[in-house]
Amino acid sequence: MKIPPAIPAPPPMTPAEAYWQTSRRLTLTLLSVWFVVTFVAVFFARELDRINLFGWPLSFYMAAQGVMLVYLAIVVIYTVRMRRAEQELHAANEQHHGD
Amino acid sequence: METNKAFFRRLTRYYCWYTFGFIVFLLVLAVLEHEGMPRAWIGYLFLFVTIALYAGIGVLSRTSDVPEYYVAGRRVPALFNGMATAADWISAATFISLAGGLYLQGFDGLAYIMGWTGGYCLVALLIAPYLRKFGQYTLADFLAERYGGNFVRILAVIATILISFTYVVAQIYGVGLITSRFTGIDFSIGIFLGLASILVCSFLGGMRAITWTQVAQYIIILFAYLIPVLWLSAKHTGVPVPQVAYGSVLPKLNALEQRIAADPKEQEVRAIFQARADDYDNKLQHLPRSWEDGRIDAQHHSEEIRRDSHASLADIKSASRALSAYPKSIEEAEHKWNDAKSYNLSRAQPPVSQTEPFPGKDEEAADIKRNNFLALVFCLMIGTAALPHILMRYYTTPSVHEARKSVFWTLFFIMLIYVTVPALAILVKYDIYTSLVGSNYAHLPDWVYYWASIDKANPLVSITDLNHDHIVQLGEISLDGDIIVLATPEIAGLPYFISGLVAAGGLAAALSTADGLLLTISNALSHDVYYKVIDPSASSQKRVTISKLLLLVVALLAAYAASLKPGDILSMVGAAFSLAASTLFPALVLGIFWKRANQAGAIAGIISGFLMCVYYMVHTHPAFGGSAAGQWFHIAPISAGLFGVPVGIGTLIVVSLLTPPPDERTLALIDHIRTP
Repeated sequence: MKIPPAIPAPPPMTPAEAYWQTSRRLTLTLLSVWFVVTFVAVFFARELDRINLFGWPLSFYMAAQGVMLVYLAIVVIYTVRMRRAEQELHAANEQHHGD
Repeated sequence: METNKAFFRRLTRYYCWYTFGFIVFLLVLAVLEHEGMPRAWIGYLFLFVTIALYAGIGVLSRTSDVPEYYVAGRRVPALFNGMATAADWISAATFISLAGGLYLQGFDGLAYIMGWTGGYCLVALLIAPYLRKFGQYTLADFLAERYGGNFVRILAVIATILISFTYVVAQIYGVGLITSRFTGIDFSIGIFLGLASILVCSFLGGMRAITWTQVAQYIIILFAYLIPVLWLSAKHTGVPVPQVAYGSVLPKLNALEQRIAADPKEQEVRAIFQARADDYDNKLQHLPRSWEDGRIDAQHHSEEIRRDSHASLADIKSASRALSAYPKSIEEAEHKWNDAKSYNLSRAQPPVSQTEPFPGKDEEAADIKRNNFLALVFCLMIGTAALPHILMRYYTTPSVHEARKSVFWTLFFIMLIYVTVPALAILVKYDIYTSLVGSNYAHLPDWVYYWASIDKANPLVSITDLNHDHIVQLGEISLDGDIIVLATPEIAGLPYFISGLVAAGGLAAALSTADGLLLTISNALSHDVYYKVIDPSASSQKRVTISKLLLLVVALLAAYAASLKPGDILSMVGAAFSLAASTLFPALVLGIFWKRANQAGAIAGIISGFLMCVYYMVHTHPAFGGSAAGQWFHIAPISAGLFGVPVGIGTLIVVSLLTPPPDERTLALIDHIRTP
């Protein structure tokens, strides 16, 4: 019986590469949230208009306030998560140099 | 690190004292008004005290040091940079016209609210941290370093100047409007007064002085925008938090809108406008005969009245005025009558619903509205993420993390105002629908007379009893959008010093934006063109001096352009966003996120994006001789970036792939900016 050739393991990522990967993934995720709340929500604004949220028509509320709060949340999440990634990178770099 | 903290504490202390001082100043004015100080004096006091304040901050932070002059020494804490950027961002148009736009256009106006805040997501995620890590002085610096070569730099400089100059002319125009409306001084004197304060500030201290002035200006803007709305909100809802409370007014406003749409008296007024529009339409169809008949009629009428011994002087005057205003040629008649027809048609429409998205007579019309809304949001967002004077600000923070944090603060401080804008529009609308509509012509409020008399040629507000029933109908009121913010204090019944405060806020908004823009233009010229291209050996002293001289020249040019009162200035500002999006955004973002992007690609991308955008505008905007018939998918010319951005990105990618990849040095630079 033939043993299938093992898939060669990818070379381990350097801390900088890992950081860039985290950063890219986060950016992509948050950009898709941004896209959905902006363009998809407005595209269906007429359908959403029938829903009422504490007396506000939903699509009006979203465009006048809700979307802005989501934007702010996007920037907050990005800032906090990137800060953490940055600290991990510095720690990893120090360990790297310590070896 | 410790010095940073100490610096932050010191700044906080200064600005707390400043805010306290400003409140005391307001209280003093309140007392003075109570004691009977005339209105004009309150206007003058606001104008001169604030302008002197900005100039004073400029004098205190004067500098000739290069990093201080260009990027405020890169030690502006995130919070203060956010505040300064917010002031930089909130222009005369935002402060004065945004709420008016919402009032007049309903849901459609929200495109500006969304576009001008959502763009900051792109700034935060795609640009600001990388630009800060790169750490030079201008946007062109980055593009030139990333793609190599002075040609890219020159292209970036041209784009920067085109975008910023149209924008700055609009700001200075706004300064002239506000000063002349509130103090009665001449429009051009107002422009030069404002200019003096901008110059003292940026001339002496560059970015450093501008930053600290903008923080001070933001505080004034915030006070000026919030106080009247808080008051209105307390008056109509009993809750002085307008951002939350205006929800309870919405259902009442909807009911009012429906009642007004069905009211027979309102329909009567709308029918009058419809009849006028039909009359113009009839005349247009019978050109050129209708023009000749009309001219002969006007002549006859004028002669008859002059012969009639019973005619009053006023009748004779109005007849001869009608004769002299009569179109001189058939072309002029066609133009004038077309305008008159569309004006009357627009007033024959029932009021726009405030909250219904994309109202249209059928599915197709509503879809066109929705597509234009989306296109405008797209262009405003991408444009925001490519505006040189905003992006430049993120060079001034101490670190990459501070740059990210400072985008958060920017968005936060912008939101404080933007969340209030719809509240203001809706509360004012409710006030007008309830207290002005249905009132008697004998008891019109004072503010109507006051604002009607400000600009006789283009009155900001006009109310005429068209159906002679002595009752004000909504259809009889014609409001200019700008009045919504400027007259709010009076509509809400607040004392006059609050009106002065609103004017000072509008002035601060215009001046702070103009400051940032002028510095961006003069830096692009002195740093990118003079130092990097013409004389790379220039001493730092010489560079700063050149920059200051250029600032003076650009400021005077902008003031001259504004004093010509270009009519289409607002649509030009809208165009600046599309232009920024199409030219700079593709090269910036792909430069960071795509290593394969190279010099040839960037050059082709910038040029093709620019050409596409300009072509569409010229092709479709009446001001450039185009017409709506040339539109693609019914997209308005202001959203030309919808086509410019994909063309720019596509060209950049295709040309880059067809030419050799960038060299080792460039790849190292990209890795460098990607690590914090």
